[in-house]
Amino acid sequence: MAEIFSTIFTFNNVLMMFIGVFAGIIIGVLPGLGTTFAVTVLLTITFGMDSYSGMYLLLGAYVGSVYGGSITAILINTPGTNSAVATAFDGYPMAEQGRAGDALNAALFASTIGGLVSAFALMFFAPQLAKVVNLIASPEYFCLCIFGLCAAVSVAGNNRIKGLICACFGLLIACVGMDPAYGTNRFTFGYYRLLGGFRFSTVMLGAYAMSTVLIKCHEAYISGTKGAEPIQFHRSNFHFHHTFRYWKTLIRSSIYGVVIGAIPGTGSAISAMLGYNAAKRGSKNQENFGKGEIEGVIAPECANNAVTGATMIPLLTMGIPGDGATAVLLGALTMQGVIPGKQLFSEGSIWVYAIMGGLIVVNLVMLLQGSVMIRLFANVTRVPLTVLMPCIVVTCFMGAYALGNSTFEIVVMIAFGMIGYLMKRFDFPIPPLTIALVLGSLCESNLRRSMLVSHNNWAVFVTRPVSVLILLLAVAFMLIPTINKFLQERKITKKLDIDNVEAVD
Amino acid sequence: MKEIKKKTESVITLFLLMVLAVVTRIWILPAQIPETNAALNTSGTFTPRTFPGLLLVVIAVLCFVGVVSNLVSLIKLRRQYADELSAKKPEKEKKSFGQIVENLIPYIIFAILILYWFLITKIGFLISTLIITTMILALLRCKKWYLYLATWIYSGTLYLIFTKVLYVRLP
Repeated sequence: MAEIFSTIFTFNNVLMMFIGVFAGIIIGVLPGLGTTFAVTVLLTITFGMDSYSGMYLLLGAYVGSVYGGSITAILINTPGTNSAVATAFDGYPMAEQGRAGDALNAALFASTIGGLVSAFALMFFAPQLAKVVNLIASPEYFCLCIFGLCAAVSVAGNNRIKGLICACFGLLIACVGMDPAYGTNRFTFGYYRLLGGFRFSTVMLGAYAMSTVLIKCHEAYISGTKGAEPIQFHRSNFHFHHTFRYWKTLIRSSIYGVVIGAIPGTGSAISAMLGYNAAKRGSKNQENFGKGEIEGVIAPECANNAVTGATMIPLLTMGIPGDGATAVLLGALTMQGVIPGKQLFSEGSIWVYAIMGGLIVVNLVMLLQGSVMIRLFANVTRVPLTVLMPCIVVTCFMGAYALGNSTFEIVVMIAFGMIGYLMKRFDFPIPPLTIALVLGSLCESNLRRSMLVSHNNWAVFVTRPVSVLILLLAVAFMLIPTINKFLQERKITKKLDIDNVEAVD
Repeated sequence: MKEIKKKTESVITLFLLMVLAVVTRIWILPAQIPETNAALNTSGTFTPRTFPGLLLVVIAVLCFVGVVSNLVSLIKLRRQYADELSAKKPEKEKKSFGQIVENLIPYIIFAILILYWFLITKIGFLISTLIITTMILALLRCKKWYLYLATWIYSGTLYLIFTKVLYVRLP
């Protein structure tokens, strides 16, 4: 225990947590950039850091950006991230009523509580899951990868065909380089730099950061150098202990966040929406929701931050990322030479426990920074995009170069920037691609091993109870949006029929 | 009408992707992944080509399904908006130079990024960064001198962080 404490509380590590949370909140505040963008951009400066400092910086950015999205959602009705969409439903009406301070404080306190619950869930569940992982064989691992991909496709958007194409494309990109079993070159086109395949971090920088730059430059060209108007603040009477008045909402939202976060391929946006809906259903003040109900701010904020630790459960135990941002974290781990999986828990190393403990401290750092610097964070929106874009370009270029010490990485980043831009332009979701890219080698090696063990019998995946169960869950995930749509249409038709009957009567 | 445009775009992009997947499966895959004897002898059917080959087939099939489903909904939409579509189209207004540039901004920025990479290899990070940031700011119609200064200071600071703190040898 003392060793874990001394590892976490070094000057460097605490400084990195502060920088990470600060940068994360600022990026989270800026609409359209998002959590994955924050983690990806900061990944570039983890080069040369030790694994603790690097991870604390990225965890800070991850947690901070999830919270940061709520600030602009409340103040200017523009969610900085997808996970803050539900926060705007009641946060902005509160700001209009002159209760912006209360809403901001409620969001901060709920986010901190959600984040802490999630960190404790990680501490409790990850070691248990790591024990179970020992029992999982290749067919189950392959099915888990398929499940992660299906979940990512299912939540990425309405067009699941395009999502599946992106996932397959991601798996295909992961094939580039030397085949791990036979050493055969695959899609290298005779270029020796491609023998090791594409560096995941570089692809992420391109697909997320560069494609965003291409899109935002277009917006900046139209909007010019105008920043947002100065933001009005109101004094807050909502203090930390007031949050516990809504303990039922806090518990419910935390559970939603932890469960959704632990499912590979999902993310904080869904948990926030589910948390909000559950709070609305269970509240005595249902009719006030959407009109400035503080519970409507607490529920989604607690739920979206409760995802942050839970997404690390499948990441650290099985090497399967929970969402896009943790996919980047996985890239960072690989860069640092840390291989996620059951061995992290079984070798008696304190690394994983120091990371879990660090996540708790990161949440407290967020509480501190959020309380002290809220005005500064809110005014970040006044910085014009025109200035931000070249700064992001320079950061990404230097970072990409640092990742491989070569300009080849820059070329890869630019190429994937264009691919990402075209994907966004033609409605192809990026998250399935990035998650597939991470899962690619895991997926192929386990498929190959399963085939070898079963003497090329594909039935191996449907004759083992656990793999069948995982596959069924994957299919269910793919079908949920269709079933939901069908039920909603049926509900509307029924309502119309009743209205018609009443009109005739 | 916007939906019709989107569906048409989807049909074209999915069709092109399908062609690309088929071409890659038939010509590029055999050329880029040589089939070794070791692979054929030891693992039976699962060779280094199997997984990427399988993925390409799945992509082609998905694209085909996508093309068909989008075509069906496109036909339905065209029937729905038949009157509007049959009405004489108003003559398109000529786009001004500014509008053309506006639509091309992402591609111009892309070209600038390639130029940035080229300049880095020739004249190093620092000077090329000054040139490129100035170009981007000018392209985005920034007229305030202090914003240029702020960007240069940021770039210079980042350069120092990478070279002096993180010990990255930038060219």
